[in-house]
Amino acid sequence: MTASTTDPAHISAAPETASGNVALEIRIAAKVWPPVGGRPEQTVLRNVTLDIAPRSFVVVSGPSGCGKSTLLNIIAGLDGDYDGTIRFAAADPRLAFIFQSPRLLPWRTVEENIALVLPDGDARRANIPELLSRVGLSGAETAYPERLSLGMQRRVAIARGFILEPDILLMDEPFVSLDDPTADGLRALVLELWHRHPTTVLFVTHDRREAVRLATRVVRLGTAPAPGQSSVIGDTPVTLSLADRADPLALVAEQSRVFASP
Amino acid sequence: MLQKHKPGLTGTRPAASWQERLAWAALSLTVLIAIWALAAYIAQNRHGPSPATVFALLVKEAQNGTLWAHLAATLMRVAAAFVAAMAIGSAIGLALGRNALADRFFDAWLILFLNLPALVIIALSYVWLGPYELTAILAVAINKIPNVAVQMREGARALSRDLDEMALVYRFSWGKTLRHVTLPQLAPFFAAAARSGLALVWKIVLVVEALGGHSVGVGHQIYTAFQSFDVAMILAYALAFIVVIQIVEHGLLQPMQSRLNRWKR
Repeated sequence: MTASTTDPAHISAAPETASGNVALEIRIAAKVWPPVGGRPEQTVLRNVTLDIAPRSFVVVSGPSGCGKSTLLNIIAGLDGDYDGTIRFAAADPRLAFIFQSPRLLPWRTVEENIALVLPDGDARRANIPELLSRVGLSGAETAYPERLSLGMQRRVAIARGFILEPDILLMDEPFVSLDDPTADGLRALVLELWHRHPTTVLFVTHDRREAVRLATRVVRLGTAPAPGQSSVIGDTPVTLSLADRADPLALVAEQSRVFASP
Repeated sequence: MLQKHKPGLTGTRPAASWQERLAWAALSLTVLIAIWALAAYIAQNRHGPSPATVFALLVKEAQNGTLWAHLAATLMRVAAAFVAAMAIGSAIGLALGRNALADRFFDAWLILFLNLPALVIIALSYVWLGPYELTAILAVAINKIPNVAVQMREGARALSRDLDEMALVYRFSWGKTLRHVTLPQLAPFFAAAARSGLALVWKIVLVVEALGGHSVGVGHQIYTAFQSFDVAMILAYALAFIVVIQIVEHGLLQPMQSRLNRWKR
């Protein structure tokens, strides 16, 4: 499979190739915001074409306001107002979305928040204690989210995403507004969970270091061809080993390779 | 006992322990009764009965059963009007909060009914519907519905889009979304509407009973006492009524509200 863009001249490195199928096919011709309150109509995404390989960890990177979150909302089915198609390999794909804010139900306990995403009577409910201990929240089962720190709330949101064993896991800058050590701990946690429960991940961030820390492939969104409209301006595989990802020097080197200007 | 109504603030977080608050309430009520006794003693007037006279009358009315008959009739009307007002007001408020077009259109109606004097609603209800039990309930409910609608509309407007999207992505069923996402967000608005609603319904129901010519009810009893200038009787029924309100408030509404708020920091 070739991860293609509509404008191959802007690909900075050979995209990852894999025999095998595509978990998610993104074909967005255009996403336009209608005019609001005197602001003219605005095209955010233009010709975003991506094939996402199964069990790959794809980080979508780009500056703030480039349409990264919009892309995730379109994939999640939260935004149906666009020109294009989103196709999943699975007939009835299970989606999980770890949002920028934890979006937990404050009136339900940690355990209830996680259990609620499962269908009633689902056997995976039995996995909650183990998952909670893996994200470091043993003993917090009956706590209400507002009594937890933001870092802990994000752990709950991560556990909620993984309990579903989703076909596609969407993550929208889930570690913003955390201090560095906490954020890095959560990155390690997500990598560990992803290795245990391999799934197709689409992760959005503007943080380049975070991108190479996590990704098997970095897709860069930017406005190079036309100002104001984002499309894919870079598509690079990341081949760091798990050990290298914890090594700051290796990350810096990989970062400059992946984000070398086209 | 003082009842604080803070619009917009739905949590009741007592700063002092309940024993301490009870002690303060007991002290302030004792002082109030002392002032009343002193005033009655100085005035020595038939229209200014002493606390002892009023309490004795209250006990007598309770013992011969009259008090209970009137209280029961009034409580039934309050309960019926309250339930009707909460149900209809909530339905209207939620519809307006979720539908911008309906909201724009019906906003003027809501303002009209909010400002319609209670007396007008009561008078017209009896003129148009006749002196029936249902008229009393309806007259009270109509007075309350606009307030409930306004408060529930605020609740519906404040519903979190973030949580809606979460429920959508994780494929919550309609019932699951309602039970775990929507209703808990509306609960504080509902509780606030219920408490301020009950306060209003209590006051209006007596006026309705007095004007509607009902033969039983606290309002009827007070009106009858008023015609013979029987101040002791008026005060005795007023006291009984206050006690019942406080029992409902502290025994029912406040525990319900703190249960709803138990997840708050």
